[in-house]
Amino acid sequence: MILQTRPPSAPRRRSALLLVAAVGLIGSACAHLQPPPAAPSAVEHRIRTADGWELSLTRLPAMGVARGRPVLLVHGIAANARNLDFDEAHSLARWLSRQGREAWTLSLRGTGTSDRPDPAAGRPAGHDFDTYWRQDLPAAIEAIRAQTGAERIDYVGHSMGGMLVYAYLGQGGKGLHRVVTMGSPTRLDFGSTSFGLAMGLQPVVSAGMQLPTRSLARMNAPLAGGASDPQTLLLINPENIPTERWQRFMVTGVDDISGAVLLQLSQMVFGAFASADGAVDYREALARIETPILVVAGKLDRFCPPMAAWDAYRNLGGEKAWLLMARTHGAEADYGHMDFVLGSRADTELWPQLLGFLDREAGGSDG
Amino acid sequence: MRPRGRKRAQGGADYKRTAWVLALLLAGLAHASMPLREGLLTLPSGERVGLLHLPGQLPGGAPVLLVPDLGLTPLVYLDQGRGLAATLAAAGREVYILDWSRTDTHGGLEGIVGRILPAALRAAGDGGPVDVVGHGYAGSLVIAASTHEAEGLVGRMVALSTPVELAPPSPVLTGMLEGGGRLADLALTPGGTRTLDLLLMDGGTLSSGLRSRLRRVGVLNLESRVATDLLTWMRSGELQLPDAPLVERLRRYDRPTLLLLPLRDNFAHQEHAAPLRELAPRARVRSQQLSRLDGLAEDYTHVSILQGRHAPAEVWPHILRHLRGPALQVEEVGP
Repeated sequence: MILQTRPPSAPRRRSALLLVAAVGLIGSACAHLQPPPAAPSAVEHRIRTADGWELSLTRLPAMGVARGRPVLLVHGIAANARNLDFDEAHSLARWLSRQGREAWTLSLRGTGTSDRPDPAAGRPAGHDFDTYWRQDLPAAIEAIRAQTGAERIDYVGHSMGGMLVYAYLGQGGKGLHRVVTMGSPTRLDFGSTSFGLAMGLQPVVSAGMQLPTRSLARMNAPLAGGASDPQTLLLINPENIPTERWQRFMVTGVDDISGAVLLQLSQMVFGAFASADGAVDYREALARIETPILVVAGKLDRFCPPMAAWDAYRNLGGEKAWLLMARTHGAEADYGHMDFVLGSRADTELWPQLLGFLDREAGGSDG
Repeated sequence: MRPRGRKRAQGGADYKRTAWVLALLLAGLAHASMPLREGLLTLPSGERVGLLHLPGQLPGGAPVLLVPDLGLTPLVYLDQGRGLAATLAAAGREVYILDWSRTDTHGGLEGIVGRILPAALRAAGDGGPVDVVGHGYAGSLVIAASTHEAEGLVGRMVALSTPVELAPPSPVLTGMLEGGGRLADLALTPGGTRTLDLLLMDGGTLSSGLRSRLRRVGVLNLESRVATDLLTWMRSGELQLPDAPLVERLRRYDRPTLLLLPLRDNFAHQEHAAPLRELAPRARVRSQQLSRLDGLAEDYTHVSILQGRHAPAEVWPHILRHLRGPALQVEEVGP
């Protein structure tokens, strides 16, 4: 069969030229946005959850004199393990390893190089928040304990990574010694009109969807970072994260969102931090947690405003500490949501305080 | 040397008071349609309570009492004829503003809750319930008083960043309070001015003229006992009142309340105000966060929530709507 061809008309030629030019422009704009290399010392472990998913758990060995327990670092929603291990200068994981702590970063299912949904391979789409803490967290904690011989490990969770540990510990999860959460809300019903508007999108999201946030972030990266850019407003303070770093992060650390996770967490706009079926109230269970927890909030975190993190702090039952990253509290600039992990001065302003908390010996025991 | 210093500071306070009253009177002259009256109550205890009265521009308007935060003058509500006070008066409300610069606060927070605020509420409401806009820590004290000493005297309540559950203060605030609460004196040095701006205005959209006036005549030195009481409250997390701690009183608090929560308030942090909803389950508290994420022009600070460039369009409508609300009766929603 011979395909017939014909020369394009002038308007079509113009459109084609414009398209090529646009692709070229975007391509050249993206040229500098290459993901930074992983840490040379990093070793990826493949672990298996009880329900058969393979997850990526990366070990960064302690450098110099090893001290303290291993630390598991868990990222937030729409992210992956590179969230906490971005590049040489902005990596909490590498910083901890330089301080003598063995650091482990986890990519939750459906993100990074962990398994993605594949019904044909027995991995159905539609995993929710509950799946993360019931399956992925225990698998990672057990794997690290088995690898290192530590009875209990420390834990740092950013955003949803902190919410996961609240749910895990509140339901009797074991194996953790001390915990830090950063920008982790337990309610978002403070009268935000934009969160209310976002709820209007609920009907178009289905639980079985994987929202292609990774691809969208990569396409949008060259344009990201403007002062009025909604993502900037939501996630960063440009005084802490310059545009170029933020754009490079967009092509590295942003990942897809499971529709079921989004739908479950969207209930927080109505004040509910609960299991997907509503049967377990995770907020109420905070009072049962005895593991010591440092709750970190950012003064300019518009995604998890300080009052949303304070809600967790005030409800926690055991030893707890509160840290507000704000100019009034000694920071050079107020912290936004991503500034805890990507901020220019996080390694001097925040991370030493975090490590100081982890270094303290816990009084109680949680098994 | 010390007494001389105190005398100079006292003289400074007198100067500020005079300047503030003059500024208001001049503003009043410039706005002939807005006569401003000064009132002074003397309590049986000998304490004085300063009130400003801005008559409503329509007949029969209900009274409203505006309470600036501790350490702030009425300028936050009325600056050169402009402000929430003028807007409420134009809407027909009889507006009263508590003037801390002419009010005795040597009795500390207990005296403010027990005597000063009840007297101001009685005067403004003529013995009946009066709607209140309460700012910061002073707003929290109004809420506390309304459950006991001023029971039945508060109608609807607008709570602007009113802390009810505190944490140890920031080093900046600690420094100011440990130094005796010399908030106004901060403006005397460049370093102090930066601290004052950080606490009250950082990130807000105030005009340069207003910033300047705020530094000169908008802030007051706290009574040292008030500073000590505030520091104790912040460090312990709980305000102890003669009959019960604040948190216990809040269980009885039942006024319909709008709680505004500005993101960048460095003087009264939003996280310390937000728990009012849970601590006062009978009060039907409706909270409204103020942040650029919600399409607002700024994230709002302790002062810009009232006097920011965009506050008339973005913040005051919430207040006016709440104060227009209907019944004062409150449903019982459980213990």
